[in-house]
Amino acid sequence: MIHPTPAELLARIADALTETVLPELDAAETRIQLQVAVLILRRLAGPAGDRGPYLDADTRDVAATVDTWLDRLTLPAREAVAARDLVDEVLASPPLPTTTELVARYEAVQALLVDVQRALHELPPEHEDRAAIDTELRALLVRMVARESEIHTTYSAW
Amino acid sequence: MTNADRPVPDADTAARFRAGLERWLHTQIEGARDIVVDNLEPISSVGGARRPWQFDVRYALEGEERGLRAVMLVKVPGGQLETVLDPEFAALRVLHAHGVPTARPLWIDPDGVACGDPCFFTEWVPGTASLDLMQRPVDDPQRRAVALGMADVAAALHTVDWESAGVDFLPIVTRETAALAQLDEWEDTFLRQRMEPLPVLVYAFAWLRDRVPVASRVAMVHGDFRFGNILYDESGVTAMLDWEMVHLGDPLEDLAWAHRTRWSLEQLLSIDEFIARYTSASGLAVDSGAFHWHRMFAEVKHTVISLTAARSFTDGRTTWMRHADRASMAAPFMARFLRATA
Repeated sequence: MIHPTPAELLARIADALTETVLPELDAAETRIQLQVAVLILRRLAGPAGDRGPYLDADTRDVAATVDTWLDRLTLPAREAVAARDLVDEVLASPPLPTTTELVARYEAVQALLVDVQRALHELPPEHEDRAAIDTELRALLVRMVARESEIHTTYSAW
Repeated sequence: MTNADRPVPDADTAARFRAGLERWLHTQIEGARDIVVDNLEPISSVGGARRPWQFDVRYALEGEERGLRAVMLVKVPGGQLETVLDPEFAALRVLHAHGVPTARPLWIDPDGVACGDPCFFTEWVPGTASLDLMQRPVDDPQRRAVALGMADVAAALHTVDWESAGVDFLPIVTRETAALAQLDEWEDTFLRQRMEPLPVLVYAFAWLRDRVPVASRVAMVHGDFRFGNILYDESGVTAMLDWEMVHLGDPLEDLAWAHRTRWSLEQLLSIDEFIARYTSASGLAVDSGAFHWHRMFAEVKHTVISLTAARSFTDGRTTWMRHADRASMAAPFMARFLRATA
């Protein structure tokens, strides 16, 4: 499950606090505390909440820039090897997708999983693939829910 | 945002409600004069569909001073359920008349004339809905008494002769369609409220649809029959609350819902004891296979309710913070479903 995304959730919590709690607060210091908290929530609901692509772009920029210097500067032998390895590793790594891109791809494979379930149900009950695929589907769903449970822990006892 | 949607009603809201009530009640209590509404205050509630208030009303009628303590249940827009007031109010009339422990229904305001939002009114009933009972020592006698009392309430509810009572405000189902109708309704809600395809829910609905049981009888079903939706005191259960999901259906639906993990009566009494008491009081047998199906349906239904709540918050139809992270309930509920159906 991906919706609401952290960004969607934080933005709405900021709205709700602004609309329902802030108007009830009279004490100036309490209001400021909440106003600052809302500002931080709004910042995290924006690009600041998606740090992966930022870190990836910055890291890649550093590596690409330093790459051209390594042959022109003299580093101690061990450091030079380590630097070359690090720069090569960074530049060879696949680019990190944005959360927006990951969400779109995740929704697409979810839809695929719904479509294949429909196709599975259209197989005759006695078809040899029906039971086998159902078993594999069920195991996949168990793995997906287990991964989700690792990050969604608030209601684990419900 | 409406006033009913506010987690903490302010003094202006209470004053406006009081004035509106005093005007509106003249149209409801025939011949009443000098109507005064007093001690109006919100009641703490964890329910998401109705926001309750309590108040005293005094009036003169036929030369006498009269009064009662009432509860106003205001419909919450954009909550975790899609409900209407009229069937709930009409069901309360039938159930109260048949001796099921409920608050006596008084008036209904479907257009929100009195306070701005649709609401209905019942007589106040003593007791508490506190969940603290679950935390008391195992040998606390009230724990067992309340759980047995709930079995008795379920028995009374499920043996109401609804056909004679003329329950034309609820969709009719048969023994064959009782469980299926609920499955259809909640799958429809799922398809409208989901924010992504959610293949695990699609799988769960298909699993249930392949195994729909035939009900042993059709009964009036509460739909949210659980600890937390009852009032109790030293004498036992005083009233069953929150009838917004009442419908005709398979009585096992209520028994299964009462045993969902979060509020399971197993914390007070074993399922076997609960069912023995229920069967003794109602004369209705409980088929273990059908009961299991309804327990699995309960996991799916609660997941859909949670997704609806999350969607309401995400779409800005409610600002109630309790709904904000409700989508995260799906993982533990579906994990339990997959384990129990393995």
